[in-house]
Amino acid sequence: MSIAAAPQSPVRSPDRATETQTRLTAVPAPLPAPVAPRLPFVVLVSMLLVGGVVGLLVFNTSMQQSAFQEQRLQEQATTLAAREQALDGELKKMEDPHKIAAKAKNLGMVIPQNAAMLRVPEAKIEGEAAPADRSATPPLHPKVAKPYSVLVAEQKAAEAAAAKKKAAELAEKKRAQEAEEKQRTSSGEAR
Amino acid sequence: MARREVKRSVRRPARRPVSRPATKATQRRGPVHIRLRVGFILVAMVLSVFGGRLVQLQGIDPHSYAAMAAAENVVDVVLPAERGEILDRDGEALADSSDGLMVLADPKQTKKDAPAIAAFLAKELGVDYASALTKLRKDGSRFQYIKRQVPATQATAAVEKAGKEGFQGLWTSRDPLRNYPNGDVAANLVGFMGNDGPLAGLEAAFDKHLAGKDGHAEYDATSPVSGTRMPLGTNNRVDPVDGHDLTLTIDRDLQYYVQQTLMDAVQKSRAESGMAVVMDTQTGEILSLADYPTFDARDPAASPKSLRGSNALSNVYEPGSVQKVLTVAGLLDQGLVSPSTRLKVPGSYRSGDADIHDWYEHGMEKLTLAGVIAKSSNIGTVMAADKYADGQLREYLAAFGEGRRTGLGLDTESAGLLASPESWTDANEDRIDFGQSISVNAVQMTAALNTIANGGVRIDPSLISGRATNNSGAEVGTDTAERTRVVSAKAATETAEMMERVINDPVNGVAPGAAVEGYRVSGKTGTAQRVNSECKCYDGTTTVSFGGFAPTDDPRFTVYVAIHNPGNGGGGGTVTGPVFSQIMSFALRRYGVPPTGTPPSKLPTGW
Repeated sequence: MSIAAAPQSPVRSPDRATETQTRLTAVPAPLPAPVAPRLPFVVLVSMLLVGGVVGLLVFNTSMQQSAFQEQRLQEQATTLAAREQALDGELKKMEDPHKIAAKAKNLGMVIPQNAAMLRVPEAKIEGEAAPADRSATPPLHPKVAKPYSVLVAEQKAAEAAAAKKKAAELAEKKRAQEAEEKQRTSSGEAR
Repeated sequence: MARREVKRSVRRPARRPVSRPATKATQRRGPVHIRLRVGFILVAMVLSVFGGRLVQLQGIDPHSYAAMAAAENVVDVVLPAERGEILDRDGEALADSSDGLMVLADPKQTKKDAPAIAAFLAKELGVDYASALTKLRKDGSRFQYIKRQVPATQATAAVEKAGKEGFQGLWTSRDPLRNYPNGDVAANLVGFMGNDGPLAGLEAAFDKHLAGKDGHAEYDATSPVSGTRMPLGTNNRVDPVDGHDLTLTIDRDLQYYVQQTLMDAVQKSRAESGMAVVMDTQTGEILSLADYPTFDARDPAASPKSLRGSNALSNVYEPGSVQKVLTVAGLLDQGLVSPSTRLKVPGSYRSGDADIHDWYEHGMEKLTLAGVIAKSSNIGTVMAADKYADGQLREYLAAFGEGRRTGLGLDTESAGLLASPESWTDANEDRIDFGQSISVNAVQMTAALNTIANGGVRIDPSLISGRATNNSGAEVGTDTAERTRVVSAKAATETAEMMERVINDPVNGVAPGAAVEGYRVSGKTGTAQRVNSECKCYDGTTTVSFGGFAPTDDPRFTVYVAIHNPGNGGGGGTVTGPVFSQIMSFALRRYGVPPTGTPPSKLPTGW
């Protein structure tokens, strides 16, 4: 209410004053206030608004787009890394000395037991080379797959397991017997 | 007041016919104070609804909504740290890691198609059909391991294929894979990983060094399923810290050769087990440490538990005659004897309440000290060692590293037994002179022999290149290896030359089979009775060994071989000598060590 009243008061008091004191006289018409053309301002503001909103939208969309792309690339990187690892693993398996020795053996290669060394600058030969025979080439595989000591260790483990099982069975039997005894004595008492 | 104003505004058009358009609009929309009141009430209503909601959200139950929002869109993923590799001295992998996955099943969903899915899994992943079927049908369970540590590509492909064939209820989860590309090569040292952690060897001893620390990333996702990151959302990221690599001093190819040669020797002599060590003389680096029988790190379950480690470190035994080298080196260092010291060696020698004999029957023999070593005479050694003052021998043996762990970093190492000064007796000392009543592990013995090879300076043996801290906090490696002088350079050279006679003396040398064509080689045989752990007595079985180095006048490698309980009745010279020769020959050629070309030792062995 007071908000509505406030602008009223300055108008009212000169109003009253004119009625009581002076007659109304012509006042030179005030010059019309220069009115700025409204259209450019409205256009500017709305362009700013629309531009801002659209820009934000485009920016957001592109960020979202790049997030999707990031994820896609990430997945691709993971797949490729897994593949690289798989290939690397295969390569390492091929480098296994066991495999290389087996392949060399298939080609009829042996390890030399005695080789000479050449000293190139001094044109000297050190040591004596001997034709390679099989004496320095160890076999690829053990003759006995399970040597005596492995068998012993396995047997010991098996025995230990059996003993454990037997002990458990005995304990179980004893428990059952005790339970039976208890039942018997209790039924005996009842009798 | 407002009313009067309104009245006036009504009146005004009468007085002034020209009315402003604003007044007209006011007329159309109704009185201002009504509009204000209505507007105010509307605003107040909306605001109070907002206020009420605010109190409800923030005051009454602030957390549940936040949690719900978080659960809806926040994704927390583990960023796996990679476990460090175990490498040989040339950077070849002995153990490495790769991305693995575990394949899991939800029996509630797989139950109805169980036979078909089990057949599919048996084909794609190689799992056992029957056990897979049981798992897929398990009642009341929603989580079953189908197979663990499957290579990522294989697991993903299998689960995708299952989805295409219409099988539901299979998925994968991270399960890092540890690979041992070389199978049993150095498996005794490297150890292996179980499903949930390291179980043996360096993998276990250096787990903290190798393991690294997983990181994690927490971010808002557009949907929790796809996991696409929401731009400008929360984004907390803790980077993973990868584990450190562990570089060993082991030479993989040499290790393979030593293992195969040892295997062959153990099987040919129908022995129980064997061990071999190759050490770089000048640096103390262990180039190879082999055990037979050993296990395959790719399939540890196939071997009994007692073989899944290094017996060369954990088993101690009486070294036998190889020990004589240390006894004599101390004597030479003290200046109490020289290689040409003449000894009259009887057929039997009284010590305490028992007699000492030699490995062969003989009457009175005239041997020099060099002859005593070449022929490996117990009695001759004891007679020479009688010159030691009380406690001197023990000091030397302790300085050679006997009775304490070598500090390779593996806690499974056993320290062996060197009698304490309190329990040391003269009779004991006589036996210790030639390697009884004392126990060692193979690496201790190698390091002790290496002291002679390295001009009398002992170097701590090392298995780790550089330095690394193991789980029990010990910092080990080549950088921390200490050098200590044990005997003089002169004593070491004299001992080395006497040891050369073991191999090159055609009359008294006991191990001609240990020679390496073209090189000067020093070595010493050992044949020791074994103490049976059950009866605590000598049970008639033996440990045969050979330790030595080459070239004699500028040693590059020290090799030690021990074989337990050879069934063919062979001794140190015949069983282990040739193994030593093969390994030494291979190592010298592999590292391009030329023969020194100096004339061999001709120290007299008799007089």
